[in-house]
Amino acid sequence: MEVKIKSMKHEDFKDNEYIDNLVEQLRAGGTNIIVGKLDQLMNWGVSNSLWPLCFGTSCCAIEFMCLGAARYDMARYGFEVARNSPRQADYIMCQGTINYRMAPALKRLYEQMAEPKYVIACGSCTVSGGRRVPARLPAPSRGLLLCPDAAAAQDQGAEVLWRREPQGETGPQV
Amino acid sequence: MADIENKITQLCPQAQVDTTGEFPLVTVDDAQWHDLARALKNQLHYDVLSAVVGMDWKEALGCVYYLTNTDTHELLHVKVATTDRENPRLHSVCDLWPVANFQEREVYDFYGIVFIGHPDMRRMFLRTDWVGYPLRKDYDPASNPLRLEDETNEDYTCRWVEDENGKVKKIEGKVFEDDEYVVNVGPQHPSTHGVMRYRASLDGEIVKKIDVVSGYIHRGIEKMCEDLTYPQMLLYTERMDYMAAHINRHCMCMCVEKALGLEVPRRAELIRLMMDELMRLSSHLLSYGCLTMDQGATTAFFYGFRERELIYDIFDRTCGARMSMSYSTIGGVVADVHEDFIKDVRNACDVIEKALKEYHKLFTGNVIAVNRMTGVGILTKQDAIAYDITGPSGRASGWHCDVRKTNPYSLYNEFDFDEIVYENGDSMDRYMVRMKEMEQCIKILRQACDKLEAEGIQGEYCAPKVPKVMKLPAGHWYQQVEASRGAFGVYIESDGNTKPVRVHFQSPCFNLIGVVDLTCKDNMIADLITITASLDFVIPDIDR
Repeated sequence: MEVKIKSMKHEDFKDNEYIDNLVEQLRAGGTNIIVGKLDQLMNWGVSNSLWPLCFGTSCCAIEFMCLGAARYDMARYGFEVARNSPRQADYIMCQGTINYRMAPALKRLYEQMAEPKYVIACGSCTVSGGRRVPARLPAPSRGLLLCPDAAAAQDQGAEVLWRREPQGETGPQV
Repeated sequence: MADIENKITQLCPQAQVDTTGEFPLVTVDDAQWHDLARALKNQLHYDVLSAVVGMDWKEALGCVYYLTNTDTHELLHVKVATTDRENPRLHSVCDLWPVANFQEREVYDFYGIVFIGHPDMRRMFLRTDWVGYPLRKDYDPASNPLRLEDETNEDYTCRWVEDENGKVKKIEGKVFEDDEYVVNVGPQHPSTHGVMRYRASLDGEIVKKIDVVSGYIHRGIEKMCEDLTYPQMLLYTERMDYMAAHINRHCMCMCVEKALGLEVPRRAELIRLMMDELMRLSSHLLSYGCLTMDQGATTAFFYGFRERELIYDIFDRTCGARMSMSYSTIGGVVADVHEDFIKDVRNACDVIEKALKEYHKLFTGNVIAVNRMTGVGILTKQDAIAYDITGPSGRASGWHCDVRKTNPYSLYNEFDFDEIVYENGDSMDRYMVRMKEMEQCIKILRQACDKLEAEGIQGEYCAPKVPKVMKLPAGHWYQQVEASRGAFGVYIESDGNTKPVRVHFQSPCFNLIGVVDLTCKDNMIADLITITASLDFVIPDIDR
């Protein structure tokens, strides 16, 4: 059966019965079809292509490179496309100390990112260094103890974000 | 020792020479300092200014200069002080040793000492609107709250000059001329290998001048150390050059051991040496990975990191951490090595030796690599010495500066290895020195494995009982080691308490940024990335 979206009237899109019938007809005709909200599709896409900003200030950045290399391979979440511009990035993995001179720069980078945006605080410098970072997702608890944050812990942090993002949840602003 | 005392009193009769310490100490007034410095350099061949340590002795402000003789590799230190706390002024030695340019700016930044004759007297690490001088003993930490507004660019500089009558005058100047085209690179930029900022003046694609703006990761480790006990301080040594974490910590341990007169068990010293070499290997592998990636060879990066994981596994099994292992301790090492340690090291050596051949096949002969690195960013031997560029970058320029050979420490004089020295001093040579040095690391590690096996039983005790709170006798000490990027020095001054009066870290990377302008001048802006990658600095080591 031939279905043309163009032929559907505007009201029909809101009519669940009409759409259910249409889906049944299509399935009967051998076409595989999934019905869902466009938001879900968007979230699924976003969660599997979260691109980090290259933002390594100190030691944790080396572990971030290990995360990108073969053993930890963050490409399996679709996270491997490390961006150099905040405008193309979805999250900052803040690796290392943020001092007084760097703080305005980090704030500006955060503001330049497009929504939805996330910050992962890595390692003990960022998490408890006494500076205020707008971290929406705290690093995994192991990260608090580790200095620098081992690649495995960063991996775990990325995974938390990956699992959380499809529901459109945002963590508490710390 | 007496010989040097005579020579110096001949050169400058007012200078006091003390030869009782580890290195001869010359105390001289600021008025005679510049003349003495020139004589020391030209007549006694103290060609290298190894360290400038700013000091606040409460009654006086001043500097301690460490000089190295390139012929005999002997060290000497000179103390220059001023009692004026309101307007402290010393004479600059920037014209004799260009390395003093950044070193003196650092001292100005932290102590407010103005150097007469310095061409560019600006702050080095702190924000332009910073109030006060943080390493002075009377500094109030509350005077600088966190400011989230952007700081302004530092377009103006100044210098102080002295006329014939001894009157000092301030002359304002500009960093860049009005008609120059200035491009900003950093601080958040992937190819600066951290948070480093350059302001490059361009003529088309050609770099005319580079102004290095540093301090985006300055944590004030030296200040923090003044409030810590000696074992606590060790923790911070690993967070500077994290690619030489073990080596830096080893250096600090050696400096404290020297002050206390402690002897380290041979097995512990051997383990430390092996860890140092593993660290160097891992650092050079990282350098390979980053240098290749900066030129677009992403695959080579994965190869380099594949082998690094082997070394990390060894660290992880023995020390419980992949980086910043906190393994050396004052008097020895924390615990004995893992039971499979020797087996793992031998395996890693075999794998990396094979992999090195693969790396060369993958990258070294590649036409892009050859064209972008050969003859680019040349640093002459003369400049390397003048700017105190040690480590692989200095050896690529033909300077024999390996501290393991010149002033052997630990057990290095028992080992058979070569110092890799190249001649041209371009990016390619810096890269090749690292590649060849990895082979030497493997050679040392294999010998060390044999020695460790012969040495004793597994689990034998590795650290003598050292009290947790220790008091160093009053005095000052300086220790140098060969870190992965050059000579790393630790200066400790103690007044006999549990906490030091002053700790200074002389980092090799800080000198490396001094030649960025020199090596990049008249090259393409794209080569800035290759040259800085081949110099291979670690930003937290610069800023400390």
